[in-house]
Amino acid sequence: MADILPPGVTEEAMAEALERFRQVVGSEWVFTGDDSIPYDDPYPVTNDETLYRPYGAVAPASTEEVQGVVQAANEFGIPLWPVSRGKNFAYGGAAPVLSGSVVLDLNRMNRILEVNEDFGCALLEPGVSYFDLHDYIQERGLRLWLDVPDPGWGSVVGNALDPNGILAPGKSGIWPARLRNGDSA
Amino acid sequence: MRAGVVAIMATLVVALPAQAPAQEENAGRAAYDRHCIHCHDADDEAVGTLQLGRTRGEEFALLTERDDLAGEYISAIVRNGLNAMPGFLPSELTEAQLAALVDYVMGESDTSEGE
Repeated sequence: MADILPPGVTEEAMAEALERFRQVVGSEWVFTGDDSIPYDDPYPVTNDETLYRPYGAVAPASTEEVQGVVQAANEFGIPLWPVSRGKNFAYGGAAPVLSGSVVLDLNRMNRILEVNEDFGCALLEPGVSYFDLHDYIQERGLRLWLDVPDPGWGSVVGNALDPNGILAPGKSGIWPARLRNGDSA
Repeated sequence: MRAGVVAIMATLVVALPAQAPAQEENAGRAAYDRHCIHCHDADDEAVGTLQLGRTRGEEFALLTERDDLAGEYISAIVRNGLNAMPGFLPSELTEAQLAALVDYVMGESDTSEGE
C-alpha cells in the first residue's frame, strides 16, 4: 500500500521536510516505509487501512532537536503526532489520528532530571518509563512509592498528561509547552 | 620502557576481540531483561509464557528454551508484533540492540539444549 500523505501536503514538501528532519536528528532516527510499520496501531479497530496510518516517524533526543523538527514541520505544513513512549495500546499505540502525520517519537528523551524525596515529585523527560523511574528510586533507596499503571513500560509523563483520573488521581504538574514555531512557552 | 608499553598495547589488542562477544551477550541480556522478561519470564505471572503454553504447548512456552525459532523470525516479531504482542519501536530498541537480543535468545536456547 502506498504511503499516505497528509491533507494538502505534496510528495515534494514531505520529502523536503524529511530531509530537514534528518539534518536535525540524524538519518538513523527518521523512519519511513517499512521502518515505520512499528508505529502502526497493533490493535486496529477498523479494517480500513487508510485510517490512522503514519507517513513516518522522527525521534529527537533533545529539546533543541524537538525545536528543529517542529520548525521544519511548520515550514512544510507537516502534521506531527507526538508520543512519549508510544505504549498507549488499545487506544491506538503510537498511531496518529490523522493519516499521513509524522510521529514525533520522544522515546530518546529519557532523562530523569530530578526526584525530590521530600516533596514526592519528579522532573522527567517524556521517554522515561515507570520501569526507569522505579529502578532509579530503588537504586538510591529513596523513601518513595511509585503509583504504577499496568504495564509499567509506558511513559510517566504521558500518563500524567493524559486525563486518566483513575490511574493517576494525584498527579499534576507544570509542563514546558512547545509552541507551533518550536519556541518554549 | 618502550618495550613495556608495546607489551601492554599488544595485550590490549589481543584482549579486545575476546571481549566483544561478552559485551554483545550483555547487551542482549540487558535488552531481554528490559523489554521481554516481563511477559516471557519463567513464572506464573508472565502472560507471554502462559499464552504460548496454552496455545502452542508447554514445550513452546519459554522463549529462551526454544530451538525452533529462526533469528529472522524473532527479529520480525519483536519489531512488528504478533497477535496480542505489540512491536517495539526502533527508538526504544535499535537495530544493534535487536541483533544482540536475538543472539542472546538463540544462545540461551543453545545452552539449554546442551544441558
